[in-house]
Amino acid sequence: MNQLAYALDSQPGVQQQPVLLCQQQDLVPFCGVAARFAEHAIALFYLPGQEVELYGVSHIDPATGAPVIAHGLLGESKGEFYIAAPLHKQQYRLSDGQCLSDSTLKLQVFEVQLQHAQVWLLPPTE
Amino acid sequence: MTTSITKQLLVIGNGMVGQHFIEQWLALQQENSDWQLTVFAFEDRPAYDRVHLSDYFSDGNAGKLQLAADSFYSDNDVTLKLNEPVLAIDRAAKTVTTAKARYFYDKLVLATGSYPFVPQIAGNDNAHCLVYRTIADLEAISASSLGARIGVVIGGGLLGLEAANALKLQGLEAHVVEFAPQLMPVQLDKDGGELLRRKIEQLGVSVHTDKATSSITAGTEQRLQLNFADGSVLQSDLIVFSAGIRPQDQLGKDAGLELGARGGIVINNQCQSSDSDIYAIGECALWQGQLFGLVAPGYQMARTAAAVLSGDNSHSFTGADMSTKLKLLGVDVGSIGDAHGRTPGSISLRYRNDLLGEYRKLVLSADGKQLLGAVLVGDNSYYDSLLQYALNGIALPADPQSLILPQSSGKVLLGPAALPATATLCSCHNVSKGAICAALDSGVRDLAGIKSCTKAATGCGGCAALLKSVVEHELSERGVAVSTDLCEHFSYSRQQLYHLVRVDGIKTFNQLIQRHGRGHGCEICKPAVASILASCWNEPVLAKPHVALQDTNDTFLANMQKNGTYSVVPRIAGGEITPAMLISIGKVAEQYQLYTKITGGQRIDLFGATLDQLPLIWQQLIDAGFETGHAYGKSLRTVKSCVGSTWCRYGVQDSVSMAILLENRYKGVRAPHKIKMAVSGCTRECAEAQSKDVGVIATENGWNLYVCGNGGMKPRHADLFATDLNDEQLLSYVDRLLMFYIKTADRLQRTATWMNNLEGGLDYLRDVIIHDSLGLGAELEAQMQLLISNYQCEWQTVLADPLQRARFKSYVNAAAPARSEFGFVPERGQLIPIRQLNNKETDV
Ligand code: SRM
Ligand SMILES: Cc1cc2nc3c(=O)[nH]c(=O)nc-3n(C[C@H](O)[C@H](O)[C@H](O)COP(=O)(O)OP(=O)(O)OC[C@H]3O[C@@H](n4cnc5c(N)ncnc54)[C@H](O)[C@@H]3O)c2cc1C
Ligand code: SF4
Ligand code: FES
Repeated sequence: MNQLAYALDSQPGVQQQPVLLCQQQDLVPFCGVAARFAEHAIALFYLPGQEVELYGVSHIDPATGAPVIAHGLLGESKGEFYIAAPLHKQQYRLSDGQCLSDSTLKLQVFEVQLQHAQVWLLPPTE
Repeated sequence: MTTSITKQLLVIGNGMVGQHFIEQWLALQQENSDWQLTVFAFEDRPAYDRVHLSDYFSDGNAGKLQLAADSFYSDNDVTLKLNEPVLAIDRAAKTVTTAKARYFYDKLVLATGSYPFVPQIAGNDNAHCLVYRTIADLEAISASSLGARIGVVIGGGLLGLEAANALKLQGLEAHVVEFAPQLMPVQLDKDGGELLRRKIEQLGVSVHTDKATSSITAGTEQRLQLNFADGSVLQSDLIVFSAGIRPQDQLGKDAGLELGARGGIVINNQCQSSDSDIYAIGECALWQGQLFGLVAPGYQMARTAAAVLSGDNSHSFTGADMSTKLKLLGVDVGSIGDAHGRTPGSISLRYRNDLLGEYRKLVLSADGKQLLGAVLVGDNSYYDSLLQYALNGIALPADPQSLILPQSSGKVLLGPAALPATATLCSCHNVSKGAICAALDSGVRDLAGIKSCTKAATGCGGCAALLKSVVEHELSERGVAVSTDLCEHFSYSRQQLYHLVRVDGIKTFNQLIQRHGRGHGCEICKPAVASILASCWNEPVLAKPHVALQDTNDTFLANMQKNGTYSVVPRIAGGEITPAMLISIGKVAEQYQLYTKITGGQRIDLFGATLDQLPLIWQQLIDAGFETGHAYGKSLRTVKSCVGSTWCRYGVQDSVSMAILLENRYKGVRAPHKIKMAVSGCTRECAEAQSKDVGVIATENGWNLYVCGNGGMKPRHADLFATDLNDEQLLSYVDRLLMFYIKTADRLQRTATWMNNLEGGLDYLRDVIIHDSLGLGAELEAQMQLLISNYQCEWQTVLADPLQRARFKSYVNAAAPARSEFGFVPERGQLIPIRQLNNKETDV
């Protein structure tokens, strides 16, 4: 694991309050962008007009440890959205972070919400 | 004397319609038919496809045009008498006479076609005055072209323009002389004719309208001189008359059959002449004062005559549609029904766009509800729908103009689903949509099967696109998965999607998926469509509608490396670089501490830049005079070169200049996969051109072109494609080759696999590219020209647009991460990624 990934993943802090991550205008429709909070790197995927409009998952590629997930291609299969990792194309379901091609790989999921044109990170719900 | 129980059916003429009659007739005969069929042919070869006659000039292969196998006639007990024209008919004795013998008939069918009309002009009997109707005519044109420089066609109709193209293919400077004030006066109106003229002149054919030729005399510069009524002259080495056709009715005339005032054997609805034992079909026949100079009506007559002669009187010929759709010298031209608006009370709607070179006109009934006719120039994609409206009397939409306005206005043309079962899809073989559905229901499962069992699209070919869309639609209605589907979002192959994008003028992924797909797309179809859009229109890949489609490397115009940083590859065309440019690359690399390596493609790769650094680095490179190298794109990578004749004692041509020319010409052109080229200055081949998609090797006389090679996972030597080309020929072949590859290859298929999968392989490719057998040459070159002229350095575009530039941020809410966060260690004086970052995949 490289230093950045190490720094970001080693000590998950305990978050109590919703945190303002960024503005809606920082998002790119049907693409990912990466945001930082404390030690976390979060990939945000914005799907305007869809049932769930915003997903947050870890930006760190579980297969390589590189901070690249936000730069993968967004895909859809049978109504479910997933992200294809940019380096080796594993598919991760956005709703729960599960890798569809390798059961041992999973992306951490972050609860995010779009409100008043702002992107909020919610405290983990156990 | 016992009467023979065999009855004699004689057919005079083995042209397209005569042949169709034989086939229809055989299909209707019982096992133990008491008929004996004999066919007399004037020409010395069995029936061939006159419609595609001009292909002879692109491939020189007359055999390919033949309609039936040699064995067809004997296999079916048909006596074919080649080279034995009928000289006279004796109706009283019921015999026909040839130079060899007399033959009795019970029934006689005249299918003698027509002959080219040559106007009475003094000098028209010169040996270099020719016509354009038979294979023998073409052979004569070929012979006359030897040593000729200029060719003139007299007549600017459909056939005249085809003849002009043939002259062009023979390498002649081609001219068309037309008596009327416009080209194609029969099918087109004035505006349409004018536009056609402009387009054809752009293709290098000179057009002279309003010109009456008064005599042909010996020339001074060229063999001949045409003298026009207005006093002007034109010199030419050969002249092709294409001033119309006349029915070949001499036999009927001599035998006292009723003829029309201006020729043609008069027939009734059963195709019988004034003698009920004698039938006439095809171009020699006159029905209700009308002659039909197209195959489809002739085929309908053949069907009718065959049925009536077999005792089925329910068939009748009741006229035929004379609509035509053609590609003349690469220009789309379509004419439907009452193109001139001659129906009393009819009204018309026009769309004319001089910028795009498109013209469309609709002729509507007085109440605006029915389509009576149409004229199309420049874009025939509207033809199929319009023809269906006109032929089947389908009620027009409330805003009929939507049918001819450019597609971006969002209107969908008449789709395969909307056609009624009775709609005729193929008029040559009279195949309805219902017949196609019946064939599908009986178990036929693909287009090829449908073609062979219904014969649809095997005549003039004009209905092929429509047939395909109907078959595909009906198959999917029947739940049949077509295996060439790109992915779950598109039931089309890449090639089909390319076609849809091109024909519908689709500019974005959203338009395409809404109109032709479903769902939201995936990592397969998005980049594939992005590549197709770029190949068709060459809009910046990072323009807003395209951003979300790009593969990782295209998204940031740089290749992502294993640790999440990116590489930077400026273009170094042909591998030639000045010391000053080298120094400026070095400076940038030093400033940003980028790992620097000479690549296998004769250029320099700078590794380890963060997303935030990319615009800064590129700004400096661009300021120093570099442009993007497209190392990230499925597009031209490099054109390797050797030093060639500039320095090398063996070099015979300037390979470096040629490599630079090629690289600058094709840079940025998006393709199904990456493309590599190389140019060597002599046969020693130091640039390894034979391992490239396009390899060029210098010869004493020019360039040898090699195609479809590659290194990589499965190396393949390129094949020698053409020899001793001059610069211009080389570029035109490469233009065509690349564009044809872009048009027809599968996604991520390199040229070698593509070529191996093409039916007919290299020979077919040669036919298409060199001999222009599909008549696509000019179109392919024009499409490539569009891509070339829309080229821009993508990095320059990004840097000029603050919005695009703003995307180059590692984190939207935080400062740029330090390089050290990505984990670098020094090695041999440069920074490389930490070793243990090796990922799982590389272990296997
Ligand atoms: C940098 C370079 C190696 C080097 O250090 O020399 C290189 C690097 C890569 N090559 Fe290559 N290839 C490089 C020359 C070649 C060559 C040699 C050549 O071009 O003369 C070949 C064999 C020739 C050929 O392609 O026919 C080559 C055959 C491949 C292949 C296999 C292609 C195939 O058809 O089998 C791939 C994989 C692919 O494209 O799917 C590939 C893919 C790659 C990728 C893009 C892999 C990837 O997706 O990350 C590498 C990324 C480079 C980067 O990040 O910038 N590279 N690659 C060379 C860049 C040349 C340039 O200036 O653009
Ligand atoms: C270059 C070119 C392009 C064309 N393009 C198109 C197109 O795109 N679409 C379209 O619909 N149509 C096209 N046509 C027209 C089409 O080819 C004709 O409509 C069709 O061939 C007519 O068939 P036919 O059998 O009536 O006449 P033909 O095909 O001319 O056949 C008549 C045959 O009868 C023979 N014959 C004549 N007299 C005698 C005799 N006394 N004894 C024995 N044999 C005799 C002739 O030698 C000839 O072989 C094109 C024609 C040409 C020349
Ligand atoms: S050969 Fe393999 S490892 Fe080397 S640059 Fe090419 S793709 Fe990468
Ligand atoms: S319309 Fe001519 S082949 Fe179908």
